[in-house]
Amino acid sequence: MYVLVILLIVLAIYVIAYTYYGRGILERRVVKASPDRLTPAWEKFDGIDYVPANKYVLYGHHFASIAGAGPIIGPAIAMVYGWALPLIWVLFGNIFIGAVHDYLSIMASVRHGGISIMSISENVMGRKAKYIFLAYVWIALILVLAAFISVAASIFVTVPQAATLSVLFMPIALLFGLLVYRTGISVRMATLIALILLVLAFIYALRTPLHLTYEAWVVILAVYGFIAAALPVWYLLQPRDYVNAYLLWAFVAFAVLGALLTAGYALTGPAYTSFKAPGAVIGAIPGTAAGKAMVAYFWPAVPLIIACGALSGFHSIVGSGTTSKQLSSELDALLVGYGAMLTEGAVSSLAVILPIALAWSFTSLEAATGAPISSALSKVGIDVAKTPTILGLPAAERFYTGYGIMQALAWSKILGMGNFETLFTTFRTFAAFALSAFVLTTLDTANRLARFAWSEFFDWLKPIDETAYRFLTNRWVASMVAIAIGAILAYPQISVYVPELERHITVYAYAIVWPAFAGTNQLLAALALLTSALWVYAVLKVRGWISLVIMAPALFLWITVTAALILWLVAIAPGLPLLYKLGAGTMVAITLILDILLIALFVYGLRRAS
Amino acid sequence: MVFKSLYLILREFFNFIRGIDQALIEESVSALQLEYVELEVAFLTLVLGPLVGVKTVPTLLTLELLEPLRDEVRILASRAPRGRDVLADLMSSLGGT
Repeated sequence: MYVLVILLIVLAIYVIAYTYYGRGILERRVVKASPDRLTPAWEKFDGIDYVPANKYVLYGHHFASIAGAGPIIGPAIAMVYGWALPLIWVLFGNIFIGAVHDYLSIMASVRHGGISIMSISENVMGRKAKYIFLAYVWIALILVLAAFISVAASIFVTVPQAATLSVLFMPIALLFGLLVYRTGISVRMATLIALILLVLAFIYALRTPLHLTYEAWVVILAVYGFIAAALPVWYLLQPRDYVNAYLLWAFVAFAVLGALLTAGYALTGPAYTSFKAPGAVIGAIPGTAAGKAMVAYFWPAVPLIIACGALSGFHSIVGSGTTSKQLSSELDALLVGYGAMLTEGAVSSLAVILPIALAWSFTSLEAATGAPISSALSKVGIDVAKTPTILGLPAAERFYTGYGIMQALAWSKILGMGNFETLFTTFRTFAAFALSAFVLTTLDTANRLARFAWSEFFDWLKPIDETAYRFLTNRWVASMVAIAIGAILAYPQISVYVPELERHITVYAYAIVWPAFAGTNQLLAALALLTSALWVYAVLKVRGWISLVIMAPALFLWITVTAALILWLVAIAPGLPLLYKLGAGTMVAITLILDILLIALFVYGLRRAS
Repeated sequence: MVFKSLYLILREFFNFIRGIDQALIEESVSALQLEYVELEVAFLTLVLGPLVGVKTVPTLLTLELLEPLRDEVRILASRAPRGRDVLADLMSSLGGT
């Protein structure tokens, strides 16, 4: 299979889905969007919160708010099934679940005057539903902290140049903030200065790697997450997020250009390997009985692996936040909600699945292209004799190694094959840095949000015991609880001897925590989609097969995720070290209990509406 | 006909690029804007508190400030019912996962 064929299939499916499913069914038949109905941006216009925005500007904001590291790690793990199943899940999940979920969350919020999906759930399912949502969000954010601290630390250990660049990125972001907010230099000029400095820092970082241990990075990142979340935003968070937005778009643009330039190469990876994989794929320790047992059936285990690339529960909250208050016309929601999710899916397909599928077998690709791949890999410490395929690398490393190889192949067509090794090192570092930058952005954001969700969750305590409420919701206590649990779960790195490979492999904490994070996130998506489905049924009064278009994917997702989490609790959690049994295991068990409670509220709401 | 379609597609494409560019520029203050809103709410609660029984400044001073704070009072009134619904706003403005 050629890169070009996959590229064309992916783009064609997205265009057809957007036009016929998104516009034809969702917009016209389900929501019956109308340009004549005033949106909250007009109805409640106040020039600050409620302001109509241009649809492309809003799309840009919304995409920056939903895209992060999530769509990258999951598909990289899922490649053990071959490239076809992850690709099908990303496309299927995007079109029928993820984008529908995002679009309906925005539209439900728009029709409720711009309130969030949590408040809508309170309206359609009762007050308890809101607290359940908050508990979900908090648990999911803790698991985000644990998984992402571990991902970032593992990147800095394997690509120490990315560590140097990330450290240099901080003062550049601070300088940008000072230039714009203190000296009054225009944003464009300050952006230019920051981007030039970033390029210089990149060149410096390539020659000056920063070596620290994994554990040291976990501690540093946890301290960073704690401090950054407490700092005023203009110091670091705002400028860094802003420069990151350029990084995100550059990353996406390179992925598309890379795919176009390598369109004539054949993928070296198999489309399909097996429908089942060892338990290690969904968090069990490799080498143990649970790690070896073939329990990770693609269905229902896939939502424990691929999270944000196909669908994400966080998007329902993001979409019903500022986005719904700035929507100028109901007709814009399709591009902003449905379109942005398809774009995120395209990032997973084109920037992760495609490069890994192309670079799967290093020797085959070397033979087919004539590029010095083995020699380039040996320079970054990968011995092709011991690691003949990309699957021998940890998930995060699969991504930036695959991305680096695809980009090097693409640009060496223009710059000459003699530059392949330099291009590979450069793009591998760029991809690793981009991934770490997305992760770092999420770290302090997740910590701030976890603190807030924690405080909101305990508001019932205030009239009962004000002292306890004040202590629990103190900003330092709330921040510390979240980051401390996250860091403790991220700290271990386990070295395991795998007889089949005849060598020790390092298992980073994220490989264990990721399924718990992904599962919780996907369950949140299932519940948000059920809320939307109930809204469509009870409020919009949509009946017949059209209502099934929403109800069926919502129930399918709920059954899939619930089954996957039960599988994880039964087959994986008992074999984990005590820390994860108590940490991730308890959190997943609590989310499952809340899940049952919420589904009961859903059924009650459905019966009341019938 | 073909040229017209091509022209329309190109025009939309350039509008898209312009929109993304504008979004990027606006991103440079998005989180700050959120903090500004919080500060504004804190300020208004401080100066208008006596009207709802929160003793912060003398009531007469609050009454005197009502006229110049007319627009702010309107915004506060629109925000008040959403006071317990700001997690989504925070999540939209602080970046993705």
